[in-house]
Amino acid sequence: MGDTMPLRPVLKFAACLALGAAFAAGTKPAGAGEVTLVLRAGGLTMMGELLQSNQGSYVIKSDKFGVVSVEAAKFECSGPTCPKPPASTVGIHGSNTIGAQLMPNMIERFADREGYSVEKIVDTDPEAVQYKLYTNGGKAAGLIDLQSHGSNTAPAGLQKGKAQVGMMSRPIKPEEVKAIADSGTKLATHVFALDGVAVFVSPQNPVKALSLDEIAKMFAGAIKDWSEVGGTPGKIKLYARDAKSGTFDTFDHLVLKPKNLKISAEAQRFESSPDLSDETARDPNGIGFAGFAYIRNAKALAISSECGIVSPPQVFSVKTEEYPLSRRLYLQTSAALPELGTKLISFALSDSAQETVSGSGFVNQRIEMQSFDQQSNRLAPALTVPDKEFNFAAMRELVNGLKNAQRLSVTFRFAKNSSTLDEKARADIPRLANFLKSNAGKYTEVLLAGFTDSTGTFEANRTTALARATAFKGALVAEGVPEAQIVVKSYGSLLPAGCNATEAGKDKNRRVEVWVKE
Amino acid sequence: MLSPQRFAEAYAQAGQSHFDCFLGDKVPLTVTFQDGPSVPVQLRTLDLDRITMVAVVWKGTVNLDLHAFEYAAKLSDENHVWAGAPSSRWQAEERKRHDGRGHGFVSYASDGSSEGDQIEVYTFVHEPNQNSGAVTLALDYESRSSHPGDQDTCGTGLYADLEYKAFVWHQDGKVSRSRGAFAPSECNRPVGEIARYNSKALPQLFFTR
Repeated sequence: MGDTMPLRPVLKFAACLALGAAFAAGTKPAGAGEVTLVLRAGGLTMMGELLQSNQGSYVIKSDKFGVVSVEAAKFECSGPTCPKPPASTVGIHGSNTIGAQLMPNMIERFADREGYSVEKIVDTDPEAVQYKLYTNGGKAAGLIDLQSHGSNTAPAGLQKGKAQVGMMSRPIKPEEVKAIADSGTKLATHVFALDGVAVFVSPQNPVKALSLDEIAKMFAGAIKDWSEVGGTPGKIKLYARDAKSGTFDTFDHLVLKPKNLKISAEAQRFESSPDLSDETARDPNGIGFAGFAYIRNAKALAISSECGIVSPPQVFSVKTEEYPLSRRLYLQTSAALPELGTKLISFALSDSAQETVSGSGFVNQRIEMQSFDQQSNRLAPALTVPDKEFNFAAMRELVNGLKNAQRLSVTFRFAKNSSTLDEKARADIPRLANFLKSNAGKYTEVLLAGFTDSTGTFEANRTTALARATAFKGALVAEGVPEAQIVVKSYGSLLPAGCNATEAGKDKNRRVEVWVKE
Repeated sequence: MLSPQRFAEAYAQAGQSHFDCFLGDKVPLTVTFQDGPSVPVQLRTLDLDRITMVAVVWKGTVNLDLHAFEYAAKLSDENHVWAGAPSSRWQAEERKRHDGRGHGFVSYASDGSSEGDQIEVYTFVHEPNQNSGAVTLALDYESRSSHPGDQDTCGTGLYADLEYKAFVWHQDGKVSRSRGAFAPSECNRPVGEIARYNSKALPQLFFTR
């Protein structure tokens, strides 16, 4: 011991106590009112009465060491008299899909906008980063603790109060909501961005498309060689997200469970989406899946379906949620969110943040457009549906009605046998209304085209579709869109967006599309 | 005018020397040799709109290594670019000719053995019509990773929570700046590969076609 090492002065005494750690550790636990200070870098524990604490130091009175002053930032304090973390500490825990790229970019963009400087603290845990924010004058403005270990860690973090924001790449489950509510925490759910789960292979793999059935069987180990799906012979190597992952939950829900299949035990599992993607890209026999933003150096496959719809991974089809593996990315916020966090989340959900969303490789919620011609790949599958789902006169009416129009990416979906809009749809109505009002005078007509799944007769479905489109018209008028501009059309089970053979496909088909004519 | 820079560079047999200079756009360069003569040098500069540069700057007698894993490269791959595998603009251009994708090189003015400012720079030369891809940039606290018992870099050592700054020169000429620090680590705790090459420390590069 001694001063031969160039230690910072405030910690010299702590270093001299290092030998004492061997005695301090393992002794009786701290009594009521006592605290325990543990050196974050390890090797020293002190227990005693906390005499004083401020942002810079703790002063502790310990039986073993007497009165000691230590640098607060170097020690973890636990005990009833420890100072609470600054009110502006925001824990953001959960999805690696969101936390690896999108949320870091969002935090930095927010800080820049608010005039904060940011210091990023990287740890040996590659999925944990802290952001210290400082005002222009150098004063500490807050701390953001970002931990991206998977969507399944978000509810636990919210429940324990370690997180005030939960990032999730899957919907929160009712039992998770209940557990959080039982802990006394109120939650609000926000759709942060859109995304698709991309299935990808190495760029050296010649396969360009697979069906959901093939993908399911490959990941369950039932298809073992690329030659079975038209590829170059070779044993298929599987790469998948781990069990904490919302991406895995989404894949399981949309791909494996509909076929009553389970992920193969031979799949190599990853906590990190970028690592999974790069490992797949390196392996000519590999196949993996992750969010769109993590295609990186791999080659994404188009998804073909049994009813003939082929869906390449594209931004527009994710925005319309017609890509078979499209999903929503959520932020769950607790009522305990401090002001700094409220401002961050408010920014993250605003129109100003949408460029950051797309710049991070995700799909933002800004409205885009496609012409009828750009949508023409939908026509062929639409003409091969069973007779009961098709009506030639109605199809001709559809083509004539839409051929000179442009489709907006925002699409409104409904629960089964219902004309009630889902939660995203309710949030999208003001978004659409603002879009139309900001383009006032440009569009002569706003066509609300109602569609259904194939359950029931064609005529009954036209009636249901008309009711949905009409209900939606009322919602738009309530938002200030001129009623005279809106035309309601009903096309029943025509032009399916998904295969009616599956519940997921039917969900996609119950919708109102929005088209505009200049 | 910049203050004189001093360095030692070996000549090729034909008496030629090639080196990279970061002097901005169209700056006149005079090279003065130790034995007296000065010669003006005609610079051949990269168009700044063809490159992205990422610079890491820190202070102290410790070494950080900036690693660029181009297109899912592994540690032992050719496309793993870092100071330990000498690279140059010409080699990056050669690799671009070979596979039609942009590549980069690392320059540095430090190895952690001297006091003061240390810098490493990764320069990526874009290829406009290349396929989509990504370059993972990682920062290794090499002094700590290689010598986990080094008292200066672990525990409560002087450089235990080493700070660094990262600057990115983007193709459009915008510069972004960030600050970071390494969290203190327990002495003698081995650092795994994933933790060692920490990609959270630096911004990542993505290319979309």
